[in-house]
Amino acid sequence: MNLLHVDNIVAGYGPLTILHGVSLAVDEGEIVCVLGANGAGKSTLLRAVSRLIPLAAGTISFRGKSLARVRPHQAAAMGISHVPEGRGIFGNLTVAENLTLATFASHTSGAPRVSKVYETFPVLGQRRGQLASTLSGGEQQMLAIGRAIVSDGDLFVLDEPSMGLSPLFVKSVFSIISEINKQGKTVLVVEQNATMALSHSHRAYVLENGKIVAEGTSREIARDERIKKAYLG
Amino acid sequence: MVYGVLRLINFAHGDIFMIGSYTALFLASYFHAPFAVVVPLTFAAIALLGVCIERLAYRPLRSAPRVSAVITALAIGLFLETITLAVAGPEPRKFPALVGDHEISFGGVGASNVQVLIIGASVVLMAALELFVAKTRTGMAMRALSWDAITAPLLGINIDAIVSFTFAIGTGLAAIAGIFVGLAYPVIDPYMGIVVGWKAFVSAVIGGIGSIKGAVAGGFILGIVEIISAAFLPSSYKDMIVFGLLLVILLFRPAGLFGVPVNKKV
Ligand SMILES: Nc1ncnc2c1ncn2[C@@H]1O[C@H](COP(=O)(O)OP(=O)(O)OP(=O)(O)O)[C@@H](O)[C@H]1O
Ligand SMILES: [Mg+2]
Repeated sequence: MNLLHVDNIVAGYGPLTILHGVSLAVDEGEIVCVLGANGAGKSTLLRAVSRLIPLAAGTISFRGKSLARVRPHQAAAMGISHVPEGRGIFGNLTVAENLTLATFASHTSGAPRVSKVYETFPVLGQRRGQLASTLSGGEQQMLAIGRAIVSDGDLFVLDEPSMGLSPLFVKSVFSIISEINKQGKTVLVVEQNATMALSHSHRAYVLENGKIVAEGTSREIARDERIKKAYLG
Repeated sequence: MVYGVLRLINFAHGDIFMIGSYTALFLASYFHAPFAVVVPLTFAAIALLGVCIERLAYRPLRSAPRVSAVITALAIGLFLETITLAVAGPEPRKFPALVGDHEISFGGVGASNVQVLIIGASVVLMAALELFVAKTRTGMAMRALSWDAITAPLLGINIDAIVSFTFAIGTGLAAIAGIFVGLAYPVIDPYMGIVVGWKAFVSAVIGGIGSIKGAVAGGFILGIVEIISAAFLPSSYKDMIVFGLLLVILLFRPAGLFGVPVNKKV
């Protein structure tokens, strides 16, 4: 049984349909990436998974349970930790408060995981009393991932974690993603940085205009001539 | 407070306050309930009313343009006034003396025990509210919601629950203010909420909307301006001066005297 199973979903914003029958599956322990150009519908797909937008057709199930009637805060409590595009940091709260808030999704005390986040990202520990709006873009990305660690979901859903980061930082973000995966978390990551995403994932899907146009192991996809041309420059 | 979390100016707030006053009057005169029972019962009843208003009137409009919610709020205010007119009649009512009034003095400075009670209780309630918003997880969630309501549920925050709770506390406290005003100026009428609501709004704007300390400071400034203007001008100019002040502040310091400009997430 797949951890996450997206079956032929149609979704969008009001009358505007963006996803035209998208299917994908993520197995426990995998890192799966979704590649696609701007406006392909990658973020929309992730929003459908974490139930921020309704489905016009199709089904999504998580651990075999249908998410049809699940609301976003319930999806979070079921174990879907969505790090949104643009990070979704609460700038009017301190770093520590941002992390504490993430315990809403977990049913246990988050204290040990908060300390783990400070260990993984020492700079967040140093800045814990600071307003999150004062963090640099890279630090905000660490905080966003840190919050997902505190939420302690089984599936990390990451929307362009490399966005706006320097190449060196992108590298360290992806090595953290691999690390989190080794510690037992399943990851669904959406990326424009195809080279990085393909070299750090097990399987890949390619989304174009709201449809999956290719899928395979990340190695196969990286060798595909058409995809090389479109996404790997 | 409701504005701070929801970016919704609750123009019905003054009328909620009036309903609070009438509820207390009703409890005290028909059931002869003592002060210690009237206060929590009124708080609970009006908090419930606030939650119902949010559910029925505001929640369906949450993603509608802001102006729809403002119009709805004005309509709710009128509705509450009309209901009170129908049930209690237009004539002013005498608010019962729930607390026996007597003079007490602090080293030569005299005050009535009612005044001391009102000021003391207000300070305690505001400090409690401030602490609650600053320190508890629910308070954190309220602040997070005001920054970015789309991301909040991704962390497991149930927005509807937090919004209901915010309305409960906000309207419950307005009702308590209605009791206090009934104690201090024991004649109440169905329109008492209008000017009070506007003044609360002016105080909040002066102080920087959404901030509790700012609203308190704004209230003091407003009071001082009123007293000074009443001393030099006919008292009918008072409200004109107050609302003139509002316009001037909105022009020059739209974030309030003490407010930091809201750098809302783009
Ligand atoms: N809130 C919204 N309301 C209406 N349309 C939207 C909304 N968000 C996105 N869209 C539209 O949906 C389409 C797909 O957007 P989406 O954000 O899913 O793309 P994306 O693949 O994530 O792109 P990017 O790589 O630029 O982030 C776009 O045409 C966009 O204009
Ligand atoms: Mg996107």
